[in-house]
Amino acid sequence: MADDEYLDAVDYTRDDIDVEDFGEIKFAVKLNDVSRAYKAGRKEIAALRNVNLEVKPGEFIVIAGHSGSGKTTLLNIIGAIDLSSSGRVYVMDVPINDYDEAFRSSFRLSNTGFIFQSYNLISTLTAVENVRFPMQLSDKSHSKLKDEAIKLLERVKMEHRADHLPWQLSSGEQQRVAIARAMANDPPIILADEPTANLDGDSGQMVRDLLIELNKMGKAVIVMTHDQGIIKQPGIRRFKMDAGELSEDV
Amino acid sequence: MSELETYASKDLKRRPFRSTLVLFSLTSIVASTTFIILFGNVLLDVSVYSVTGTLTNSMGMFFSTFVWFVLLLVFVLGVVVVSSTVSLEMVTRRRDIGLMKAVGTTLDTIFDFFMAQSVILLLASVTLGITFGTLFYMLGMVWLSSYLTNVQFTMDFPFIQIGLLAAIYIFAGYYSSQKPIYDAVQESPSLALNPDVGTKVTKAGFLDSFGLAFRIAAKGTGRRVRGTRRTMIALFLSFTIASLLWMGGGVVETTSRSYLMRSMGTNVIAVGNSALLDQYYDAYSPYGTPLNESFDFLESAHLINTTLLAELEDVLGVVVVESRLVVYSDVQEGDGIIWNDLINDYTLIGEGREDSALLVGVDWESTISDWYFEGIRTNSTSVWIGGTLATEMFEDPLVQSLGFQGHSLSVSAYAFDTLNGGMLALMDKSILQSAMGVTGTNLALVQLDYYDEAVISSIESLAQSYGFDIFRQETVLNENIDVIHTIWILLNPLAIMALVSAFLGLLNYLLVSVFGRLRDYVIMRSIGAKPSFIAKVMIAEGLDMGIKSGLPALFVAALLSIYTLIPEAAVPTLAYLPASIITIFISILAVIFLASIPVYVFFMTRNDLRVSEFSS
Repeated sequence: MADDEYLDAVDYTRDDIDVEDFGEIKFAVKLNDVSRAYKAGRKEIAALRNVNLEVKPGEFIVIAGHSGSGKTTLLNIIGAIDLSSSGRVYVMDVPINDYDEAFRSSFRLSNTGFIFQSYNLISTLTAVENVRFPMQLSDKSHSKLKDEAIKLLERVKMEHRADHLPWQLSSGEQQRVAIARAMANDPPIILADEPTANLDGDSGQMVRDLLIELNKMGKAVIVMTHDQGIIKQPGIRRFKMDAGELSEDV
Repeated sequence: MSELETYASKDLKRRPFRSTLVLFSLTSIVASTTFIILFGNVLLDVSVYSVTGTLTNSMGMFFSTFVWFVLLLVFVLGVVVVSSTVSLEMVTRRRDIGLMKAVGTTLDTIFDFFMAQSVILLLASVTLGITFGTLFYMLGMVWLSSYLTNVQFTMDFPFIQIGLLAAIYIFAGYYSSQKPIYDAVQESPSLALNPDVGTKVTKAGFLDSFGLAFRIAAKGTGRRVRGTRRTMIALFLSFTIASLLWMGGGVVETTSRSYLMRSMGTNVIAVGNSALLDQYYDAYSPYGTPLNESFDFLESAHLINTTLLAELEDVLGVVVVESRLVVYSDVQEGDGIIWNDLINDYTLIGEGREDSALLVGVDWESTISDWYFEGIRTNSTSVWIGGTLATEMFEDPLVQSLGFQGHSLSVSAYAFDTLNGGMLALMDKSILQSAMGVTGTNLALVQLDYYDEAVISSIESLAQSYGFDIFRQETVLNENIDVIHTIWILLNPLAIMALVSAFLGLLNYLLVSVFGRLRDYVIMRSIGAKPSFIAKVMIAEGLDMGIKSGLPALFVAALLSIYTLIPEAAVPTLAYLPASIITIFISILAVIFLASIPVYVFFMTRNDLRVSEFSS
């Protein structure tokens, strides 16, 4: 579909960010000629070059590539943490670059769940508080929050460490809590940046299983990874990132 | 510069944001406290000694005790903030210390390296801070000299104070940075590499019920006790200073006014010889001329006929008539005996100093005055002396005696009275009459219910029929009250400066602490927290710290003002304390809010602060 046709097909000017109101979602993620350049002194470094990508709802894609190839930049742009220098970025059919930071924050909150390589749990909150935090941000009914957060921790088998602070958890445990947090608002998209890179074999396997489970729940899962255990999973689309260029690895 | 120092300074340059932040924080607090200490000292001198003219030293003492205490607090605040900022900064380097240990650097090298950094930061910021503080002080002096054109300023550069301040700040900062560095150097690399280790799960804070932002902020401050304790002390001091100046200042002013009214009496019409009244009230007025030494207070024409006193008592509207004998006389310091701990024996004190003072004979049973005094109530064989006389002529007045006209009376107290600039002695009227060889009195103080013109006119007619005149004492009383108010107006900028200092202290904490925990804020943003939510958390963190330190500060300032710093404190009105507590509390909230704004703006404008920098 050409870009113009796509723009006509979705009403992207709507302020309401609840994507369920948009009717049938065509693409969880759609990137049209997306580029991102950073300035390093006088030099301009192209982190992404004319990237095109279409991810349908419920799809599982893996993007592999060397360190510095632009994987994290791409993930940040899809997650509305960063803005592209040029091109169009649609997440759940919403052109997120067209909106301000407040909108993008709300959009992230309800539509994307982030899983980071270094877990990024808030250091002063316990495991259950970390999971509950995105739900509290989205103004969910307060009384049920703790129960819901505990249920999410149960799904990642971390309920017994609910009241521990991040420093009291092992790397694998922290990543499982981070996954529970990513599921907190039941987002349709899960973005994972090297989720198993810092983990040992057992913990890594547990995280892989959880990602597959999330995909089976109907979520679009986009994983940046070197992990062959994920890359070789059957039924997923694989991409390769090299010097800011994305190509489908068939 | 040694290789280690070169490396330390390079490391600081490579971390421009953190280094600038700490430099700014330290410089601002050193500058503000230096300014307050230097300028506050001048304000005190100017307001108490230059502006007041004939107001007594004893009255100045009430202000000076109060202001010196405030300046002491400001100084302690400066030391605490400098040490806590340096200490906080070194705590944030714990991870780097662990890393250096992990790669095998010796403990001594690590310690020297970080101490070198700390000393560079300290020297740079104390130099800058003292320079800016002194510049502001000079500007303040220029302003003051343009505002008070009648006061001669000696623009001596306060080298000694500045040198002392710099030395103390460097000393305090140096020793404060040693502990966290030493602690981090001593612990295992694995612990030092994980800076969050040791954080404890605490229960909900008191602000939890105010919403998510407050819950997050309260957890942030409550679970990082080590990082917040000293900041709380610094904030507590700042808010105590501001509250003390505001609340206590009002109490000091009202108390001084109350002392004045008690000593002079209210609604009083003085009756006596016209020239004598001029002399007497010139000696009372802050703008009056000094007593004429050759004026004869005991001239027969000045003595008041007892019939006149009786007739004055009969005038309708008169509450009481008090007659006094007032004499200007030479006085001598009498000896006293005190216990000397050094030689373990009694020692004779007193140098036999001589001066002139106004002697006032009163009838203690029926006097209209109710002087504030320190010592014991007087009797027929003792005397009360004024504050200035006590300060200028006596070593330990309460064990010494006062000599006059060949008589000697033991000093039983020093009393607050602004008459003759505090160079006065109050004694039993009969003693003074006997000493001076007279039987009558030369001043009648007629107290009325209120200043009723008809009554005053009757008194005037009566006085004139006996060849005397009247004087409305209320005019001089009001002049004295106005002077007290002027002193207070001049000291008011100190309260504002203390609040500015609190603002800088809190800004300091928020900058160092928030940017020390930048990662948590960036994670919140990446999860989907709106910018407004981040702002709320920052404000809530300031509120959490501000309220925890501000409320006790208010309480302590109220107690200090009423019970400790000001004897026989008088509160302006019943609503004064609650009203000033509310005003100060609102000011504290404003300070917190204002301190959060630059931190938030700074945080939001730094585009490079993205989660990506932590994730790979």
